[in-house]
Amino acid sequence: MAGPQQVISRMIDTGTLEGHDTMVLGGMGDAAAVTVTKVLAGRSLSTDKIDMVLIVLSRSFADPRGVAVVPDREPRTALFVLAYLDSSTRDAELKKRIAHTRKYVQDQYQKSKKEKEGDKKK
Amino acid sequence: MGRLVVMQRHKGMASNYDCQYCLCPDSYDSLSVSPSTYPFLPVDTHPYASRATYKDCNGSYTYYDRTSGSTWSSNNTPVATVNDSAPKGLVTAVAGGSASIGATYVGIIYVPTCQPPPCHVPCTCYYPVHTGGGTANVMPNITSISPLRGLIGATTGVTISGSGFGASRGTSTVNAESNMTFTYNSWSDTQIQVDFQVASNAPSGNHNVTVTTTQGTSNSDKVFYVQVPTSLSVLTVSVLPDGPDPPSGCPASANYGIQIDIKYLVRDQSNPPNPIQSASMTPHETGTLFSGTPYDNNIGPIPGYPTSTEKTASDGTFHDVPVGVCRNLPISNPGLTSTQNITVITPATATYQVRTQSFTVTAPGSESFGHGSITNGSDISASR
Repeated sequence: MAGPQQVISRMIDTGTLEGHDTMVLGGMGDAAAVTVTKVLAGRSLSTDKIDMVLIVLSRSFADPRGVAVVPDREPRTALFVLAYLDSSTRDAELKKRIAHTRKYVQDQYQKSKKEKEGDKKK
Repeated sequence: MGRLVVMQRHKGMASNYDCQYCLCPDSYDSLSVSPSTYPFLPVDTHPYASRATYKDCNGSYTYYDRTSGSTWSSNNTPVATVNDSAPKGLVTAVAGGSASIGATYVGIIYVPTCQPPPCHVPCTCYYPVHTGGGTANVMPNITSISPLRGLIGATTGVTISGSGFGASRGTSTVNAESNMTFTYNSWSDTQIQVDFQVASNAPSGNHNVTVTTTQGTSNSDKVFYVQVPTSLSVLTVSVLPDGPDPPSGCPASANYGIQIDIKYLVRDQSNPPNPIQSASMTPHETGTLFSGTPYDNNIGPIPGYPTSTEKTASDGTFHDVPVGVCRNLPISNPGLTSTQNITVITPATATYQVRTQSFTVTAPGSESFGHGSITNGSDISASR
């Protein structure tokens, strides 16, 4: 069975997103961003690779409430990675996609915090 | 009056009996009721009769029907009643249980007042009251069971309707042959709400259901069908819309290919197969991914895809989503292939195989950007 690092590495290297990958990534949260840093270490970044990283991060923050490790529900390393990716390109369209993903992971985190606070008030 | 002489020549034995002339009429001796017991179903009726026994001065008996002259009563009218007006003695069953049905008759005993005769008033009358009795047993009867089916290795709440179950459960029981236990939630004379806990090793198929009370065991022609997950039918196949984030399918940066949402229904072993309407099954999958990597996991839930759940819905359906592959390069023929073996796990953790299939995704050529097709070669196909 492929672990999360193998899944993320395969996605970035082959440019392929399988339906099953979403199940692996969905429970990772910020841990996926940490794994991305390991996979990208020492590699040159192409547009294709950056786009696959965006796919990894959006799916890992699809529902932070489902992330078992509570600290990983907050996108800290993810925002750092996104900032690094943004600084790595001058492609305006790619920068827009990076900005979209940054907003998405932040919105998903904030939504999960509000829903948790709403559950507490009940 | 007279003499009876019995002659038996064997060994020369003989006997004789002299019948006296009885001064008084036959005297009332006792009262009996028939039948002594009768098995009723609720609402049934059955006539009971009383018979008075009379004895003369020689000890001889005669019998007279006294049904219409007796006073009739039931000691448990919520269970059975008896007519004390025409037609007397008619018993009607009301609800489950047992009732004593009694008849009372006032007869006359004659006692000679002077000996030896003749006397001016040879006999004195006494008026004893005798009572006889029988029993009416009102049996349980099942008219319907709902639902008619339930999942093996799981608990199904069942309503048994009928009559004669008794006002409260007491020592009464429900039975459905082997490998089932029961938790009783409510009990009345006409309805029983009970949980059927079906063991994993229960025989599949029909189980005759009965109710047993202190009056007896009910009819056994109503069955509960134990269902085994055997197959999946495909209800819907939906193409996930393009987009960068869940619950979308292919993002713009990997827009060759397709991802779909498949809605399945778990079906049982009958022919034709029936849905298993249970929310307690866990769909599981094993196989190889499009990349060739093996996998082994529950099908849901998938974060970001709200149709994906860990267990089946109460109607026995579940979604497998997202299924397919998206790539940033064309997917040439013959395409990318994955295999999938789907099983269903019951609450008792027994596993049943329900489907094996392969999916092939193609998006050949650069003109396929934003397009793709997926098929399992039989009942699942989609394109975008």
